[in-house]
Amino acid sequence: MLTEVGFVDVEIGPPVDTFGGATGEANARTFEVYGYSFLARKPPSVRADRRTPSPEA
Amino acid sequence: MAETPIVDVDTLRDQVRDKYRAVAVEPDATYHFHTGRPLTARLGYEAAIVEQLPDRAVESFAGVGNPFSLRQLRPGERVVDVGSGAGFDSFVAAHHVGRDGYVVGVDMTDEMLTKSRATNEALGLSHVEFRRGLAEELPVEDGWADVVISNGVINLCADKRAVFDEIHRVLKPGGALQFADIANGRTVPAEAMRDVDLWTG
Repeated sequence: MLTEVGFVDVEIGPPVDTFGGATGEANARTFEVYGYSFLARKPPSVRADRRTPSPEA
Repeated sequence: MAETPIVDVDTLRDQVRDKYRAVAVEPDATYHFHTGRPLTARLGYEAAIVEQLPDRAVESFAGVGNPFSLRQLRPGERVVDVGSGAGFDSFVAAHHVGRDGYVVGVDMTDEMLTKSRATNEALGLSHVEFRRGLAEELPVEDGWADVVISNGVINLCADKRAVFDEIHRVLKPGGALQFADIANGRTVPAEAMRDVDLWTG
């Protein structure tokens, strides 16, 4: 879904046992629910992507 | 384009609001998730930062991960915290961006906003502000944010596509979305997916 919206460079961190030892642990175990960190970027503007190189470049 | 929610949006929103109203007012009660300082340690937050914060900034924290683990915020960045709750992640963000940066926390629960605003006033942080609003309708202008953070909130929104569209709108080109949330490894039966009670408990 992130890429459908237009995000790029999506990264996902390792799973974290967020619910371990909490009262919701049973449901979490049943469906293998873990916490994750996500990182994504909104692409730079088209104008920036198409910037004309300097003569020295 | 918004997706078609599988549960009633307003019903789910009301239940989420009720749940987190309780977390704001009774942080020491028993919930199906962990809360407070023990949770920050479990999720790998920097102890030196957490220790500086007063109890009221941490006790109602109910995140599911660490939105700062894949990328550190930089001094001067402008940050939006979607579903800021009692403000814990906003205050951590404020530490990282410093007074040249700015943090806007957005939450829909009045009790959470009351708590985060009172804590912010006590801390005297002029570069942090809490606004009332929905994740699907962020009270932030187009392209304002360098970074959007969120923690355990998007899974509670019925229309996730609408939330991500809104986050995309408020980010600058090249801006970062760094959030933590839950995901399941096994397919949840359709009947269970339609049960609003299971979304919040």
